[in-house]
Amino acid sequence: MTNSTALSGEQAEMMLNLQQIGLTITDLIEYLDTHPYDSFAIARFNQAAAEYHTLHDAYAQQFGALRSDDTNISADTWIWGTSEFPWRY
Amino acid sequence: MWIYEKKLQYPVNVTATNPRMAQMLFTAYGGPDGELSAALRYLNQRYTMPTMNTRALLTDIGTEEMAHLEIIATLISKLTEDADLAELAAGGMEGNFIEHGKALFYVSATDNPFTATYFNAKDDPIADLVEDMAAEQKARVSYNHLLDVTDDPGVIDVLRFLREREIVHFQRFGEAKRTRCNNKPHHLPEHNPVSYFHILYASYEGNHKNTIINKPK
Repeated sequence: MTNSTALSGEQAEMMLNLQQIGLTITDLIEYLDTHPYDSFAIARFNQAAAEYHTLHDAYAQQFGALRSDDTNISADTWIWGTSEFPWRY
Repeated sequence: MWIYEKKLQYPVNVTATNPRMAQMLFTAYGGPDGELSAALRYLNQRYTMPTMNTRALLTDIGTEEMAHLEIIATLISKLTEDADLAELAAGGMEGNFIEHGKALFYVSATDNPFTATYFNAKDDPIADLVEDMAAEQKARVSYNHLLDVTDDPGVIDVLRFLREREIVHFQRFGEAKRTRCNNKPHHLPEHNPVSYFHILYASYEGNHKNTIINKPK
């Protein structure tokens, strides 16, 4: 199905990376909740979390806020409220 | 509190309009073993969990279930957004259209409205975690059934992801329950909750930072 608001190009690629690293983080968080002394998993978590934060910031700078408290990249338009929501991508 | 990210947990792409599949997917939306039921069950059980680790696990899995709920909503929306009334009727969604248009409603695939009686909270970590494990298995079976009735590769991809997460969560709840069960001092009378929990907590991997000495009853 074609969706007129589907992400494309670099934005789509960055979103997919965010989803991949995001899932890695979610999986590690739940694992660490029941294995809180696994230092290997903690190191993997810290590495993935750092990657996610870097990518999150780069995405928000380029394409607008992922979270409502991300810096608004326009001086005169509220990007959070004027950009599409993910069930429409 | 919670923070929302404008991002699906897993990408959702469907191949074709399919109201019949959308109707079936309501089992995962407002059904007894659906994602809303899962999220509300876990987030509600947190408040009487005895350890920080189990409170963390229920918070994190409950939060992930909210993301799954959004994925199911996205699937249903994309499978119906281009459907006309005839297609909706042919797919068994005519009644849904009369009552809600193309809006979603928390019902099961058999049109039973969502109810809090789908889950429970017992103020007992073993009872609650065993319920949670069963819930993950029932949800896994529902995703198997959904996979049996679709040949849309986009839908199959998403359902396989969600089914995998049910298996992971079953594993995590099992680990949480095992930690509790194995450390349980069987010689202590269960009707003495203070000493029962005192020993239980203190024995938790020998880590007293996770200890709450007195559980008020």
